[in-house]
Amino acid sequence: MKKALLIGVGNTVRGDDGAGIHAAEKARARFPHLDVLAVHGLSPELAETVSGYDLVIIVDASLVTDTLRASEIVPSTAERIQSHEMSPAGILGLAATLYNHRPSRAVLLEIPAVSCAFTEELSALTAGQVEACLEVVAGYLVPFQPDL
Amino acid sequence: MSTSTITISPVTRIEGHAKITIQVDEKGAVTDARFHVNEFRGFEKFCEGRVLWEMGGITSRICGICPTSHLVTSAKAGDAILAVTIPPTAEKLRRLITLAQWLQSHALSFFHLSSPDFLLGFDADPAKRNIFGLIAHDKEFAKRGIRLRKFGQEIIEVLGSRKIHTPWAVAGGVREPFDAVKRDYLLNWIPEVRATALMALETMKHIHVTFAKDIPNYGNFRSLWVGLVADDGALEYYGGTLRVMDGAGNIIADKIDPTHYAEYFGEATEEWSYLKFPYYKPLGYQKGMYRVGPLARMNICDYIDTPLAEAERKLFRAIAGEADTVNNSFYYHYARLIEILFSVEKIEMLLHDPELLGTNIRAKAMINNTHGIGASEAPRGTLFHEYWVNEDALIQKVNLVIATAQNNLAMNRTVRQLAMQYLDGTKVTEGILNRIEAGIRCFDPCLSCSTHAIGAMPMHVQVVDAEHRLLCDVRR
Repeated sequence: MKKALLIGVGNTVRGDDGAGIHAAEKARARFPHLDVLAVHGLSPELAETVSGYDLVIIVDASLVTDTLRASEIVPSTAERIQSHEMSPAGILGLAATLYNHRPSRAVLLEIPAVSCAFTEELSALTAGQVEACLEVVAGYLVPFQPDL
Repeated sequence: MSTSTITISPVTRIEGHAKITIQVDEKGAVTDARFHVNEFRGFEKFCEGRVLWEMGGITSRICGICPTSHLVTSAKAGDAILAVTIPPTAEKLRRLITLAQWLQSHALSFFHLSSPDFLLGFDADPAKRNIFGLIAHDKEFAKRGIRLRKFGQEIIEVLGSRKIHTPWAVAGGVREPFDAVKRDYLLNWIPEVRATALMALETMKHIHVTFAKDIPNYGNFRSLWVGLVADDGALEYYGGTLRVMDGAGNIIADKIDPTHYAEYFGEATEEWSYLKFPYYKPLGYQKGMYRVGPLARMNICDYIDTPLAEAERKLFRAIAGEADTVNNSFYYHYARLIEILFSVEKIEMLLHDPELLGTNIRAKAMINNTHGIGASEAPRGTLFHEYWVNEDALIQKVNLVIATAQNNLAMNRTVRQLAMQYLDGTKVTEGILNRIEAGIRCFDPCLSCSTHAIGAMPMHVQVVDAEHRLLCDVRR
C-alpha cells in the first residue's frame, strides 16, 4: 500500500517560522489518512522514517520566497551539516544511502515568511499561504487516494 | 602597526549562529581572537505576562536540541513556586527524560557533528567531511549513531507523546504516568545502545592516539569547574547541589543550594557579543572563568554510580594525573561518551524500578511563592530558570542562565589558543579554519536553534584589516 507523509518544520513561538507546524496541524485534521509529523528541524533519524514512504511532503517557512513555492526534492549527499538539522535534500540522501530506499516522490513546500519575531501569531500573508499550501497538498495526495 | 581581522561566519556544525574573528598583525601573528554570538534571544521578555503553567511549553521552544532540559528545569522552578515536593514517581520519570535528553544530544554531537573531523581528518575534503563521508568511511558506525540518538528520542516521545516541545513535565510533577508496555519496549533497546556506547568509547581511544599532536592545543588551560553533584559526591543530572572546583582539583565551594546561584555567579556583557559572560563572583570577571558540561561534571564528581561508566571515569581521571583536573577541552568529547554510557546504564536501572510505574505523579497546589528557581544539568551544563510571578500566576520576570553562556569565557580562550597555534596570518586553509571551529565544537554550544526558516543561515569567511576594509570574502 502506498503511503504518504507530511513533515511540518518550524517553531510556533517565532512567528512565521511556525508556518510549517501550522500547516501540519491543519493537514492532520483535513487528511485523516495522511501521516503527519511536526518537528523543530530535520534531524538525521528522520531519514529512516522517510525511507518507509512513497510520497514525502516537507513544509517549511521561507525567507527567500514571496509566494508559496513547490519544488521536487533531489536527494543530496554533498551537504555540510549545519547545526543539528539537515536539509530536505540531505534527509532524502541519507535515506537512500543508509536505508537503500527513498520515496518515489518528495516535495518541498516553502511558505513565505514575513517575520520570525517572538510571537505565536502568523502574519496575514503567511497565514493565507498556509491555507493555500493545503490545497497544493491535496493535489499531491490525489494519486494516493485509492490507497489512503 | 598594521593589523588584519579574519572572520569565520557562521561557525558550522554547532547549534545556532556565531562567528569567529581573529586579529593578526602585519607579521601574521595572532594578537586576539573572539567568539561572537549574533543571535539575540528575546525569550525572557516574551515570557512576561504569560501564566506559569505555560512556561514549560514556551521555554522548551528555546531550543530544538535540548527542549526537555528547559522543560524539566522550568517544571522545577514551578515546583518552588507551588512550594511542593513532587511524588517520587514523578521525580524518577523526570530523571528518565533528562537522561534521554543527554543521550540524544550527546549522540548527535559526537556521531554527526564531530566524528567527520575525527574519522576523516581535519584536512579532508570539506565536501566529504560530513555525515555522508562518514557513511562512506564506516556505514555501520554512522547507522548506530543515528539509532542511539533515536533511542533518546523514543524515550522522550514515549513519555511525552512528542519528540520535541513536549509539555509533559509540569509544576508539581508530570502529566502522564508510565506503563509496563512502554517500559518493556524501551528495555528492548538497551543491549543495542549499550553496545553502541561502548563502541564509541573504543573509537574515542583511537582518536586520542590519532590526534595526539593536535589535542594539547584544544582549550588546554586551567579554569574553574562548576556543576551539580549528588549529596554523596556522585555524578548528578537532576538534583543535588553545586560544586566549584579549581583547575588543580581543589574544591573551593561545595554544597551550594542551586537556588542561591546568583550569590556566586555573575553575568558580564561585552559589546561585541549577545551571549553573556558568566563568572564566579568571588574571583571576579575573567579570573572567575569556569566551564560547565560533561567535562566539568566528569572532573567534579567523586564517582559515578553505574559500573561501566565508573570504570571509564577512572580511565578518564588518569589523563590528569594526581594533582590536576582534566583541563583540556578536547576531552569534552570523551566525557560526553562516558555520559552516554552512564545514561544507558541509568536508564536501564530506572526502567527496572517498580516505582516508575506508580500513578501518583503530580502534587497540585496554588501559588504559594511569588519567586522560584529551578536547576538541572542540561547536556551542555548547568541550567537555571528563575521566575517571578504574581498571585494570579502571571509571569512578572524571567532569568534564564543557559549552559552555553557559562562556557563563553572558556570558548573565547580556546579560540585564541587554537588561532595562536595554527594560524600564521597568511595561510588560511580550510583545515586551519576547521580546527578552530572544532575547538568551539568541543563545547557543543547551543546558541539558538529556535528559528529555522529557509534562507536564514548564510555561510561566509571574511578577512578585513584594522580599518575594517574587506580583504577577502569566501563563501562555502
